[in-house]
Amino acid sequence: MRSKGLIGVFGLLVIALSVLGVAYAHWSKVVTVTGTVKTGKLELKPSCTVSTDDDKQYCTASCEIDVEENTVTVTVDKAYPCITVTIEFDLENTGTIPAGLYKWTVTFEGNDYTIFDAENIPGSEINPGMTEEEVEDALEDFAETLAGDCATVTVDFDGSNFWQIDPGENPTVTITIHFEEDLPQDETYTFTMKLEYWNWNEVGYL
Amino acid sequence: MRNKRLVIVPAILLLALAVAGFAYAHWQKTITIDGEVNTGKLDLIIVSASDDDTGIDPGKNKDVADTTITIDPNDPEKAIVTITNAYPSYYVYIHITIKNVGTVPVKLKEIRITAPECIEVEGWDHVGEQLDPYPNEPYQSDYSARIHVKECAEQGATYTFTIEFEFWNWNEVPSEGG
Repeated sequence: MRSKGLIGVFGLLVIALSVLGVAYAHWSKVVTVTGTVKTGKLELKPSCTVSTDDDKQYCTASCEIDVEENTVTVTVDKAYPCITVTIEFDLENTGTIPAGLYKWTVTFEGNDYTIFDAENIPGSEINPGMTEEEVEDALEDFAETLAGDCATVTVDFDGSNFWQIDPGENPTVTITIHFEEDLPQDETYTFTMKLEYWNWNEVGYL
Repeated sequence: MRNKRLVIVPAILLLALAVAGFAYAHWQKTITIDGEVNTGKLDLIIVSASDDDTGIDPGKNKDVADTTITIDPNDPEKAIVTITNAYPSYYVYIHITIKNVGTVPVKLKEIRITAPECIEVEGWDHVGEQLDPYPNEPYQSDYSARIHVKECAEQGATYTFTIEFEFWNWNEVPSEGG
């Protein structure tokens, strides 16, 4: 009985060693690929200038840019009939990734309007399939609908492409607002324009 | 009694001498077997490396990001991938050719990948397949991986990843599907 026990222990020892032998017996070699991924930057820098044809400067106009908030605020003060305000707005891609226009919205007198939405191109006021002239006409019609009989608006892209802005590009648009005779006195109009750009490859139409 | 002792003592003496005599008397011959075991060598190197971003970014319409892959000149078991100016949804395939320059067949045991959450790395080729020592076919094979920048990637960031192809001597790795 005792010798059977000894044989059993010895057998287990042999099995254990053979298992360990298998576990430690392999040779191995590891071939390694190490990688570094450095991402780029999507960065757009807006700027604008504004002027009036009011030589005596009764009417003043200014343009302020808040770099932190990424907003452009245009203020026209003491406007009156028959003066013309000219706004030149440009958007420089100071990053390293092409930017594509994803959404363009306008808030005017508490109402929100969508000029362009990449997720709903058929329902947008403008779309990338239009010619430059068609886009300008559509934007003028849109602005004049909001302004009623108070102003006429002209938009001139002069060959600039705001749909896609590549690094280093700086498209410009000139918007001219001519205030008409029906402009009411002592009124304040505010509007907010928001342009949302994504990295170009995520904007489906580009 | 005294006579008996006188008989026993010489008898023991004789017996002892006889035993000693036998021990010294045999002839002998030793046959020796000398053994030498030269073990083989498990060795692999990367002989070529490439990527499929050769201009226009893969699947895109512009050349924005750039990928390079090189074999470490100081260690041909390593390749170095560098991707610059990457952006969400950028992806690239890299390819390396690994050659068995040892003397023992090997099998790919596993592919280990270490990557941050926002960088997706996939490698899948030839696990369990065998590479024989050169010049026996197949002594080399191509291994690919896909690197994909996910939406959560930060701008102006640097991420690192590692792909390890672990080979074992072939007899220790079960056959594919078996």
